Amino acid sequence: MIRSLLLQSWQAQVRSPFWERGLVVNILLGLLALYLLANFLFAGYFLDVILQNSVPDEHPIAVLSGIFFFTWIAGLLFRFLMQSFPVIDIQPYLLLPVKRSKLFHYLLFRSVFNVVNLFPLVFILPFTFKVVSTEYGAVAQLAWIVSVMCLALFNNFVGFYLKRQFNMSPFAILGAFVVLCGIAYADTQELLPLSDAFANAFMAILANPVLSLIPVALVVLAYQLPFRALRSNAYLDAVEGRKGRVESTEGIAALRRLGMAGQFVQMELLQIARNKRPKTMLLMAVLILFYPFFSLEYLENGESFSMVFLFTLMATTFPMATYGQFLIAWESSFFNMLMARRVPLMEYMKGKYYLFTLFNVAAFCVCLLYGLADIRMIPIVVVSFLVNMGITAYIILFLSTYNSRPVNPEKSAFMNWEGVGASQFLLVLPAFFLPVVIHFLLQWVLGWQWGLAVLGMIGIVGILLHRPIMQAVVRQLSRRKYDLIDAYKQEE
Amino acid sequence: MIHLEQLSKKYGDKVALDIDQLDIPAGERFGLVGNNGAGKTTLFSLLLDLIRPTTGTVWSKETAVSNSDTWKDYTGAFIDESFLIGYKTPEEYFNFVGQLYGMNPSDVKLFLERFTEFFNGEILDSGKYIRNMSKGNKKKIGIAAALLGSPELIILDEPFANLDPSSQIRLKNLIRDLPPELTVLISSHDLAHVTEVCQRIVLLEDGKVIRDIKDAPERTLEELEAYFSGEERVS
Repeated sequence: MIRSLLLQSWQAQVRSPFWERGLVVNILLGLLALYLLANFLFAGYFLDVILQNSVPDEHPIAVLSGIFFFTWIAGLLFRFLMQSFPVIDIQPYLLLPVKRSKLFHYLLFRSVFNVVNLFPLVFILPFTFKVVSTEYGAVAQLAWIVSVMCLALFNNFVGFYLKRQFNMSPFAILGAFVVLCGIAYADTQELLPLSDAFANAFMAILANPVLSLIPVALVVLAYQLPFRALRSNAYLDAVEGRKGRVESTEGIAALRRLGMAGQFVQMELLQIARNKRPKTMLLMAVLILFYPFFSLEYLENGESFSMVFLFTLMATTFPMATYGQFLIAWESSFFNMLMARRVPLMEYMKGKYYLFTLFNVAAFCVCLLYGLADIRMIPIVVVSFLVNMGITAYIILFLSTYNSRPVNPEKSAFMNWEGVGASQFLLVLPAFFLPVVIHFLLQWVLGWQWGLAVLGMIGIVGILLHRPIMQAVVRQLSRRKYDLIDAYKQEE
Repeated sequence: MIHLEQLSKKYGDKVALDIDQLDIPAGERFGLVGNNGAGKTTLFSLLLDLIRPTTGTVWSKETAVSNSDTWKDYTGAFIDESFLIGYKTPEEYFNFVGQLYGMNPSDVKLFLERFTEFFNGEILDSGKYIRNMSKGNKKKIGIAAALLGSPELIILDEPFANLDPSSQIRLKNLIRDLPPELTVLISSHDLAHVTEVCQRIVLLEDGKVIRDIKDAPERTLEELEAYFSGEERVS
């Protein structure tokens, strides 16, 4: 029975609309995955060398085992935050004559094959072959791998259980984070030598492989937690959860002065505030604003301004680029309405440009603070702002008409490839690298000031040409309209 | 009001719609019936310039809909949920659509008063986003929004589907009470309802108009029932 359920979930994966993107994008994504895999295999292979160099007076296996403690607790937090429990997947089977407990076994069994669980293997396998098996033999190697995998599986099941039992309030997350940081701190200060205990336990398993049965037993126990929780209440209302009452907003008065375009800005802001994916994407963009901080040392050496410019540009462009990659696709679920009712396309696109202006002004103000650290950051931040407003914003507006994949903004942002297509790859080049390459060339020939001055001028010209450029963007949208309508119809 | 000529839409080899000529005068109550795949939604999508015809043109008030946006000034439509903004509350949505036609929130509020009975207290001040509402309530929101901005032409695809019996009756009354100069295009699977509110019924089969029944309300229902039960299929 479980086999036929697994078969169906396999079919759901294989037949998912995910694969129906263009061949080129699939190949690019495949290459990216291979590249990442190769990186991790490579890092895993040289793990012993890395560990030997960073902690010379301890054995690499012991160091690694100590690190497991941190990856283990961090992993548990990560799962609590990100891992979702797909109970909804068994909804179609609840009415069929299948034992409920079988369905739960199936759900939990399937979760074992999650990429997150298999990931440690990629890292650990090369290491065990290179170090563990040569020193302790094959049986110890197997026992060690089993124990490490048990850590991941333990997290998997306990993570499900915690997620189900506790509501994810921001305070709970913050609290858990603080507690975990506290534990880590206590450990580094040797107040609570947990990582040493971990290291000792793993060394003991190597010496006596039979001990690996203990982690296996722990996983079996951990499995009982979500299983029992599920068995006691797996009803649809419990799955879906209750939603509180929401109030309508009148909108922001200042935006009304922008006329219809202001209404569209309003719409975009609501879109961000009330949908999971854009909200998390923009929160990540806030973190990236700290990026230029790491480039300040380039300024101190006084060598390459281009590097600093790249970091600053990335930080300030990121909010616009991350939201803008799905600029029109966010609205895929009601795009028909926008095209069939009296929506002036110019005002519609202007709304998007004004939204970008909001993002850019916010990023600009934050990044100006870098001027406190080094006064030369100020021209860099100003030019980044001009480039964003005068070049990149238009490029994103224009390219957004090519993203013909519907996006559901309510879904989670993590590991979500929905809507990702070739246009994202196209976007990265002109948005981030073109200005930096121009700057680099000019810096090389004339000096850094000239690089900034020329880019700033181009940005100003772009801002001055606002009207004709926007007209071109609107013409582009009306050309692409039918293709977008057709593409957005093909939702999952 | 609406004039079509040589209008066809093909998807590959499959003909979705093929109409020689069709005129819909202003003020007509026009009902479109036909089985699934007969081309009803295709026709409505062509009228709204959401898809491009393979051949032919749709003329709305002597202007081709694909050449100009002026038809949007007087056309209200509700085809499906892709006309609703899921993350808004119904009030926010009505205000948004109202804005498009130059109405301010108090105009919109006044306009919505005549829907009080139709909404049955479940739409306004419901404290829910549209995406969390039932199919029937979504339909009610879409129909009301189609009427916003005093249109001269409204297009409703399957307005009776998903509504409960009381709401269906209320909707029928609502359509009957619309100003007589308003042109109303309705598609429906519910023969009784559509014949009650429409003076003219066009029957589509495989994209072609096979019946065009005008001004014979008492015989229309019988004729349609005979057709759909397969008694006198011509082809």
